[in-house]
Amino acid sequence: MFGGLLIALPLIIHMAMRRKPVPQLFPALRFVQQKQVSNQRTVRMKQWLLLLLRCLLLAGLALALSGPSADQAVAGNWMVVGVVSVAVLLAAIACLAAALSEVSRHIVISLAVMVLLGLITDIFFIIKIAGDQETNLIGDVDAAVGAALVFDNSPRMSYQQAGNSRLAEAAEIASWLASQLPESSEISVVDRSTRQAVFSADLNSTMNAIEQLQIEHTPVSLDASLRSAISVVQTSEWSQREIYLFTDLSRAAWESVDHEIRETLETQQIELFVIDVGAEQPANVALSTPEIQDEFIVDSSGTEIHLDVSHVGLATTRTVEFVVEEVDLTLPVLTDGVLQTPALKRLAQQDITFDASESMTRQTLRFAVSDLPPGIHHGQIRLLGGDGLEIDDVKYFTISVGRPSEILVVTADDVPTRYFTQAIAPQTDRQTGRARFEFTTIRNGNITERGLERFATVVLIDPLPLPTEAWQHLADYVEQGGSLGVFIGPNMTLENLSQTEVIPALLGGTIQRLWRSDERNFLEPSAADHPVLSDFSQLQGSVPWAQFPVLRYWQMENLGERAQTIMHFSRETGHPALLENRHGEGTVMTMLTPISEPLRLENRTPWNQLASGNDNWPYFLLINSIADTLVANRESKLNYQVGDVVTLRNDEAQFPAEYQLFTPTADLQQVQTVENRLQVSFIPTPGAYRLKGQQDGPVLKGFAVNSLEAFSDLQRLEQTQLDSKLGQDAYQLARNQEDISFGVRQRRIGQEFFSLLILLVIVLFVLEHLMASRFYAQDSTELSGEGAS
Amino acid sequence: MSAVESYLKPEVITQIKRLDLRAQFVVKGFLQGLHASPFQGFSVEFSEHRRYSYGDDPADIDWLVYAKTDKYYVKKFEAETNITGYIAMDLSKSMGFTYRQELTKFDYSICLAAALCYLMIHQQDPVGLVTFDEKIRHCLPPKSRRSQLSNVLSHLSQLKPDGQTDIAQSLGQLAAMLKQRSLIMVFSDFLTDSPPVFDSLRRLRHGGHDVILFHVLDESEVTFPFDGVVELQDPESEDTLVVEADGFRQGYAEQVSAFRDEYKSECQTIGVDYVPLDTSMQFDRALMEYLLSRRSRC
Repeated sequence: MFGGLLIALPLIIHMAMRRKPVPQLFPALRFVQQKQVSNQRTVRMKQWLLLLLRCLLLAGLALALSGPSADQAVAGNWMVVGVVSVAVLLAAIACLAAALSEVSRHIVISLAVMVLLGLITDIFFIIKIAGDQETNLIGDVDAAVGAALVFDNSPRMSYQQAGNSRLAEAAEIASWLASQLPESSEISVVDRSTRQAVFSADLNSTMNAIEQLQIEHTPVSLDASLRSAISVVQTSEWSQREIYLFTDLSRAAWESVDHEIRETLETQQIELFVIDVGAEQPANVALSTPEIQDEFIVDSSGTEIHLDVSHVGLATTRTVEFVVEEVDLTLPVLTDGVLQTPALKRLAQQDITFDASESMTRQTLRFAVSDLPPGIHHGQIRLLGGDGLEIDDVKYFTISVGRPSEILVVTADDVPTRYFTQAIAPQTDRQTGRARFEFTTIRNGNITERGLERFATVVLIDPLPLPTEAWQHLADYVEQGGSLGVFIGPNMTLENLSQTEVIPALLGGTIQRLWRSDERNFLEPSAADHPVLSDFSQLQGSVPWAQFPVLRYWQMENLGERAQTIMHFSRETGHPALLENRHGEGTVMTMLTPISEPLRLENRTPWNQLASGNDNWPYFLLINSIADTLVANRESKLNYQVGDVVTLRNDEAQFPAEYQLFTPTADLQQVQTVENRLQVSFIPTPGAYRLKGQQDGPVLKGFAVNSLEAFSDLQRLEQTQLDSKLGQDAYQLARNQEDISFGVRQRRIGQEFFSLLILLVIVLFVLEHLMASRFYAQDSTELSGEGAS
Repeated sequence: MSAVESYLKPEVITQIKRLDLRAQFVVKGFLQGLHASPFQGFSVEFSEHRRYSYGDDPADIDWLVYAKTDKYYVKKFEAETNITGYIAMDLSKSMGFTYRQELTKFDYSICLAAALCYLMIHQQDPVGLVTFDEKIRHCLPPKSRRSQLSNVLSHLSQLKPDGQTDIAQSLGQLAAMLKQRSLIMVFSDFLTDSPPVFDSLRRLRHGGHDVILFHVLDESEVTFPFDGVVELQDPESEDTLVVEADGFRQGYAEQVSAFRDEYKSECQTIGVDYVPLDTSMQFDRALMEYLLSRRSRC
């Protein structure tokens, strides 16, 4: 800006070395003398105008060479100021010229008004810019920065294109970018893991961190990664702070990013560069997580597995293979770091064809499996041939084949339990060994002395009043993870239900009284999304609950915090009919009207016709769901997604307390049984996880882990959607190094005015040249004219 | 345009060094350009015969032709009288000026005067030469002999414009000097106060003289072709003036136009022919003016 002092130069030259005009002989001087006075004034004004032009020329040149720039936010305003200023200058010159040329006064006045209006406009915009305190006029492209390189290293970034994964592409660009950042810059490498973001010690550390980036199967949200990056760059000692986000711009990844990020970036004055490394037209066939009808099946029975196959891209035909490992108790073993697992046996294979589509289309595949020997069975459903995204080409599942679950039924002498047992385990199945459940029945017996641990669940069907000890025994069993089904009916008494505080705590509420109703009272769903009612969810309002009236029931009130009403009675909507209560580690399902009432009784009216009514399929579905829920609570879940906490039931009385965990990546971990449970809290990789213990020979357990389906969704975010999330001008989008260079320059130093100022200088130069050449028409100091010779 | 006609252009005539040839080329070019001449009246020799028709003056009948052909022919436009011409040449320093033309005002005036002299002598009109600045400097008595042409041209070629001028006094002096009715052709830029000039012209007219004023200005004195700031200097008075030419052109043109209009108007009143010229104009305009004037007197 010191160049501006050059303005003094033309002043000095103008004042000290004013050029003499060219002498010229002219005999007709007498005609000139009459106009002399007004012309002298014109000459002086033109001299000053020439001086002004020369001053402006040098000032413009000095300003252009200083490389002025402005924040993008006010660049438009500066542009307006510049354009209006040039217009004002030209109008002023035209006005002076018009005044000197003695043209119409109207033209002179019009030009003067234009000059005035232009000046007012300039002043307005300059005040407006000055009023915006958050904008800076000048930036520096070479100043050190505090930068965070944020990588979306979710499984989606493993998508291969041109032999490179998206993450590798991002790492390559990031390495170049890190080397391009000004010296002394602080750089942090942030990914979607839970690791804390910090600045690297030096450039080598940054490069190492970039090289070591890996796919994160349990990533935190992109929003969280960005916030982490914002936090770290805020600690930078440099005022220029930048975040470079390497992303495939997938819609699923950006769902978590909300408008608050934009506000935070604006508030903290952090520049955001979004580097798009995604495939513009991704093609992928993906398997969804398999849904298994029954993870636990008994000998000789089977189950069904179905999953969706989704597709985006060009038309294709793919083969889906269904394989299950053969049983081999000697495996797995780890040999020289290589995991040896049982051989896979192909059970089915299906071809699936997709048409070309830019949006995701789905087809459902179903596979049946049966006649598996007892034990844990790991299997895979996999796409043959492979494609850009491998993580969704194979899905894992685990099925346990074993003996039927044993249910303890506690009831009174005269209570028929067949309505329950036949509904969940028909006699024919039990005779052929295909039934899922076995029953042990205690009638009028004391359960206090009975060990309940071996039972998958305990069911009270219209029991007689139980002693306090029996209630306590049941409560202890549930607290330790057991499940209890209570179907209370006419055999129970209010006194018995009120004798101890254990009962309300166990059942989840206080039984108040016996409630009488009429034919218009029946069951109605309260929590349609509860697993017990999941079979009814597709039927919606077509379930004929009204055909099964409930004339009497026990009214429960004062529900506990952990109790949830699943169904209620239609006449008194506040009265729960079926509720679930979490007690300790276990679950209690209580139905406040019995399920053992026959159609007719000699001495009294049946309380309901749920079990005995005609066409009572709703009862059948309901009671199976209740039994499944109770038993599932007892059993362990075998199929998980990455990031879940895996809990497997392991009765130390029956099974070894210590296991070796073989992970899909051939790592080996020790897992201890704690309170009859094996817990694995870190499952970062999809695949089959195998637990191997020793107790009179190998004992195998296991579970399957699949990646999240969201990572298969490669549909890209539209530019407009990105704009709405980040703000249209609040970020720079780049796809390659050139884009980044351009964007960085634009963001760091804002809108440059060099070219415009040079243009202005040229205009001024031309004006000056024209005026000067007309002013000093000949560069001769000699007198012209023949008469002088 | 014929080669001779091209000599009507001042820039071409400068290529001829001899003044007599210049005069000859100018006149020949002019006469050739006339084609069917409407100016037969000026000729002192036979022009043409044509059949007599009703209304013609019987006195014009050429009886000699009648005698030979037995038909009536009219002999047209035989000159009746001779007129004495004086070329009055301004010798002031301002006449030696040109800005960008090949000929100075003085050169231009000499070429034109020589052509007129050539023309008159070929018509057997006696021609004399008067040069003046502040007063009459030289005077060649009018003669119609062929040798007069070489005398006049020889004298003109030796002249150099210099010094101040006083046209009014010089013309007054000339008026007093002339004894018989004459045609006085004045070549000057008239860059002096006009009222005394007009007075002197009136005196000439009063003396029965026909006067043609050839007002010769340089092309730059008419068009004011300068750009930017120029310092103008009067070669006679040596006064200087710095002006910004661009803003001045229009006003200057108005001044010159008013000056010429004044002369034109006054000359018309007095009965003097006024021929405004500048050094970029062809000579034929001046010659034409002379011939028109000559015809009107026939």
